[in-house]
Amino acid sequence: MTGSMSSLLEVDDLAVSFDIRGGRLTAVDGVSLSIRPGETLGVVGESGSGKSVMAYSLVGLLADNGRIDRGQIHFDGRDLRSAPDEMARARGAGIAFIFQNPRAALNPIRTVGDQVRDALEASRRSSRRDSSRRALELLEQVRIDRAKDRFHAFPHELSGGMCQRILIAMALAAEPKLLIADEPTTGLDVTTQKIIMDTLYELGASTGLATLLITHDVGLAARYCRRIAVMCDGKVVETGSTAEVLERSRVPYTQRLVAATPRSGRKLIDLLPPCERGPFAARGSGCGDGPAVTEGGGLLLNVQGLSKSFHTSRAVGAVARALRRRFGRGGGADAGGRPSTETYAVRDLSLTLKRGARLGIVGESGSGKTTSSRMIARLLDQTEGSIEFDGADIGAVPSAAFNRSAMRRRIQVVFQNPLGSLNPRFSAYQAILNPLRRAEPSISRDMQRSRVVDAARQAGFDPMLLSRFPHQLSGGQQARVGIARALVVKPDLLILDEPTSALDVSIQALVLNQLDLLQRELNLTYILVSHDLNVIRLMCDSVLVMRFGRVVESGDVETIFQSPSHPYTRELINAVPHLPAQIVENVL
Amino acid sequence: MSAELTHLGFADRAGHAVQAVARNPVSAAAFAFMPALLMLAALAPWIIPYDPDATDLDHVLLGPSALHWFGTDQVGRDVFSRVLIASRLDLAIAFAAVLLSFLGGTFVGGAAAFFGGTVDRVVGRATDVLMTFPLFVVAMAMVAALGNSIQSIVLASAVVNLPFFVRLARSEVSILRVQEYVEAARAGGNSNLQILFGFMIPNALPTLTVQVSTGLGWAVLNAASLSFIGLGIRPPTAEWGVMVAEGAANILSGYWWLAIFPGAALTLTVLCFNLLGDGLRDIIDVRTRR
Amino acid sequence: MTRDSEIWRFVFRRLLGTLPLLLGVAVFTFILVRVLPGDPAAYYATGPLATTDKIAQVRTALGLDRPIIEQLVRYFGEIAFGDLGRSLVTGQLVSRDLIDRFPASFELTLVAMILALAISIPLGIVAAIRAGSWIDHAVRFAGTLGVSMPAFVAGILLIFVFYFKLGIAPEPIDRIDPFMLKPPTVTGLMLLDSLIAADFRAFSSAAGRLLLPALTMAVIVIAPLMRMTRASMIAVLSSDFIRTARAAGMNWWTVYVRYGLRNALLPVLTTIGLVVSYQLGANVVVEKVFAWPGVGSYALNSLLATDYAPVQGYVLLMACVYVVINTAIDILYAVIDPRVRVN
Repeated sequence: MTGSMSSLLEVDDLAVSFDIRGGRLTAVDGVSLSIRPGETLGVVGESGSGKSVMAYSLVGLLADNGRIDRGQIHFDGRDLRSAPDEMARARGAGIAFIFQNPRAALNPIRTVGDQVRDALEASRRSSRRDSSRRALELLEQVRIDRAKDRFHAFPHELSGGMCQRILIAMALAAEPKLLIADEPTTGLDVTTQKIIMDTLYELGASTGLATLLITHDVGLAARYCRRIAVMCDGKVVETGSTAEVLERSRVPYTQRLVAATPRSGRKLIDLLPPCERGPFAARGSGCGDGPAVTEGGGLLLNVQGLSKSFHTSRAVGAVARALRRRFGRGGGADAGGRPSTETYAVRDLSLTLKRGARLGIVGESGSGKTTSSRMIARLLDQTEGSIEFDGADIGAVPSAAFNRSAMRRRIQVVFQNPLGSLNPRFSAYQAILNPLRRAEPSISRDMQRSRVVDAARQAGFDPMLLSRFPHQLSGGQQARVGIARALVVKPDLLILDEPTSALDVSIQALVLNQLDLLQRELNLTYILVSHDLNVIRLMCDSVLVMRFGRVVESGDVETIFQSPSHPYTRELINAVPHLPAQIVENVL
Repeated sequence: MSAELTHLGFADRAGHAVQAVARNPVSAAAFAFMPALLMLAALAPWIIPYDPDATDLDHVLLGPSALHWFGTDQVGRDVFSRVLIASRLDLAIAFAAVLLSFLGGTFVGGAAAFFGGTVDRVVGRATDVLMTFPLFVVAMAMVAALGNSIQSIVLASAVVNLPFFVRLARSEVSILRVQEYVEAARAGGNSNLQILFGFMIPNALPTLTVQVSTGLGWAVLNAASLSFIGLGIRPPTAEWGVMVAEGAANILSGYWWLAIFPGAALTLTVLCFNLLGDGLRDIIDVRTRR
Repeated sequence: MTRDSEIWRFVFRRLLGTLPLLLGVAVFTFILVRVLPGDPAAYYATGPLATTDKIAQVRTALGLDRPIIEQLVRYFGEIAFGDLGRSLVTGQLVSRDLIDRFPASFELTLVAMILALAISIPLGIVAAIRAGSWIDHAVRFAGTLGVSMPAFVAGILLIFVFYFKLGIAPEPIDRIDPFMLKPPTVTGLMLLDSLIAADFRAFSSAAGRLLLPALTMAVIVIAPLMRMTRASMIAVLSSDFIRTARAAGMNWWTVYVRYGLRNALLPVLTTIGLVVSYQLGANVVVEKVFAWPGVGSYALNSLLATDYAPVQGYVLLMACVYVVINTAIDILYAVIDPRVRVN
């Protein structure tokens, strides 16, 4: 398709499979793509699409049981499959790689400076004496401030974003022509993500480095890539310029993927492909752009001055503050550096909720949003502040006592990690039944069964699968079991802690629509905690923005998105890679 | 409907377990050998060819033959019968000791980690102190203090295993405590006790079971070693350690069967327990890696 | 905080942490000996023929009629100054006996540990690299077999095969040929002393006699060390940072030895600490089988002769040795792995 003469990387009909118990698993099935020098190609796909495996196979980093079955890989004029060590030579010399989960990708017992030097020496770009100086230069090039100090730091002392930048520095050591980045910002805060991606983009612009960006985040690819390839089930279903693929695609899978990616101006139901919208549209959900239920709902939740602090020794407090400095942006000054023995996870949180309201709490890591949600759910005792629920002062009751009281069933939680929040020893049926038995111990067996099946249906979980165990269910199914478990006791308030962050976008679309439908049918009140602004915008009416334990801004969702008043909020919104309503060619 | 539905899950898991074991022929052998061993020990009094205590001074120190498979010892007793009968004693001691240490250790360690705070710290410290001593030496001293009896050996062997169970239970529970599903259980209205017994212990059982298996091996080793050095079980009781001790005196005169056969029986039994433990560990690893 | 000062702070805290442990050890030993049967006074007196008056005198002198707390404090004082009582059997001070006999046990255990590591680490690495293959299974089986064999069975078997049947090994008595002149004692370690005195005949005699008991003590701990090496190596080989190192084009040595092995050996270090305890316990049995003149056989003989002062001293000594070894291991670990120095 493309001019093969000028291609830097040319992959032709690549197929990769793995040896597993019971046969071979084909992960990549005939993938062809090409990258020109200096170009950025994004490969997007959901989990299981084979995008990462494809990338690893290009440089010979497959696991031992993996094998390239067929295909050609040409890099910079050389055939990488011609000799066994061709790929090894390409590594660190022409092709560089950065990975997901940056801290784990660094040697924990070696200073980061030494690791960059190792990379330099490996590529023989500098001698032993020279490598220290050159390593320092690289650290500065990736915008690590106080590079001299950080040179001697160990990975566990640095933030995730900083570790990723070290990895980029290591990748640059060999002056590569192509950088392959496999989900480089997954798991990092949105603001950190922006810094990393901007750094990569600038490097590309200044050094002519070509980039192959592997990601599940369509918005990210849209923002930083000129061309996009879409993968599904080991095949490339579409390749083209960003605008072509995202706006004018004819391929159903791509359309579905793009549709499921939340973007401004779209409604919840638009996330689903037209064929699946039926059940939701029929009941009037997914289209709401105003408050879901009537006003006149009474006050359900009243939280005042909620705080959570941990009494720590001076030493630990100092470490915590130091960590906060590092986790913050660059080496900014510490706000109020009075040595204290209290570390606050949440400070002075207040909110009110009417029945039927949908509140979002958004923040990055360390913002205190999870701690807040746990306190409101009474799974954690607060240090200060009051919590009033439907007139009752539940804040005065210690957590352990609350869990045994009749009020427990009225506030339920859907947890973040679908697999981790299910007891591996309980079948889906038992998992959903458990809270019901605790709340209504005298209920009959038949009644139990019907309640569980009802809850499962409401959550969109097929009752035929109730006998399965968590490891036999897919991520989306696990998430729905978690929702059913929360719903079976008919709670008044539902707290959802990142309910879809571990799910693929298409599954997320389904689950979010399901939640929306439930909320209308059952008149649920919910608090949605998330780092994903787009999800909050779709699902909530009002939002609290949290940072370092405090609420920096609160109000109506649309107002805050359109005209945020706090600088941090602005920063947050800016950092999210939006899919704008219309993509203009050459937007970068 | 739910009853038959849950059965599906169990058969499925059993199937995977069998697969995992079958892949390692050695552990498969151990899994098969264990019941055979237990049966032999149980049926010993009825299958032995000779009375293990009957001396026969006309037929001392005879080598292995068709009549006496393992030969005879210095007072003419049939070594084979003695080895078989001794298995009952050693296995009984081992099971009793491990049962005690498993129950005691799991309870103490699990509760300590679950409730945390000072209790956890105290238990941790006490276990650390206990483990500073070579446990065999502690066992020696205990048997010396309590006298030469089976009960003292059982207690001493239980003490040797106890700190391992405490540590294991403590580490398992402290890991499980912060699992999200435990938090979910709290949100579901489960009390502490319900969480401990319904959610934590069932999930800690696989690892604990591995320790039970290796613990059985250690208990047998411990009991035999104590008898060998002259503490605990004394001659003329048929016990493997005692037999090796008696045989050791004769081995340098060439009468090797007195010591080697009971020694082999000891090794084989402990090996079986250890391989069983390894096999169980493999099954667990497979499941957790899924 | 600079790296060095971080390490020193850790060392300090770790040493401080051993104090409560040693306290607990002392209390435990105190209780242990008090529960042993017999009247301590009768045994601390001059002999089994002591009269009741004499015994009563001794009892008062030893403070055995005082409240238990007072006895405990007195006991602390005694052991702090190294007064561990007197042995009935040898008639000497227990501390003297222990000092005399300690080098023999120390040499034996040290050589045994070196042997065990020299065998288990390479085997563990091989098993990890060839995980799942028949080599892996064979190696693991051999290790499990070794650990399943009681120390006394292993020792007796070795003696039978190598001394009795094959005649290769020397007689299992004492550390050196009884008819040979011992080299002058410098360190107490026969191997080192003979090297220092450049007496190679003594060296080979001592080495020959050391081999079988050391081998016995090694065989029983090879399995846990090898298993840990294997597991750790497998985990490290599949870790993300090894993948990064390979992606950066680092050579074989850097990836697998500097990055891989160094990380993989950390858990093995911890395992050594755990395994030492087991070895020290087996030491008693091995010294009996090989008639090795160390502290293990000393304690055992005393125990069987109901001479309890040496037993108490021995138990204290063993506990202290264990604490020293584990503290050293923890410090070494902290020097290598910076993550444990925090918190």
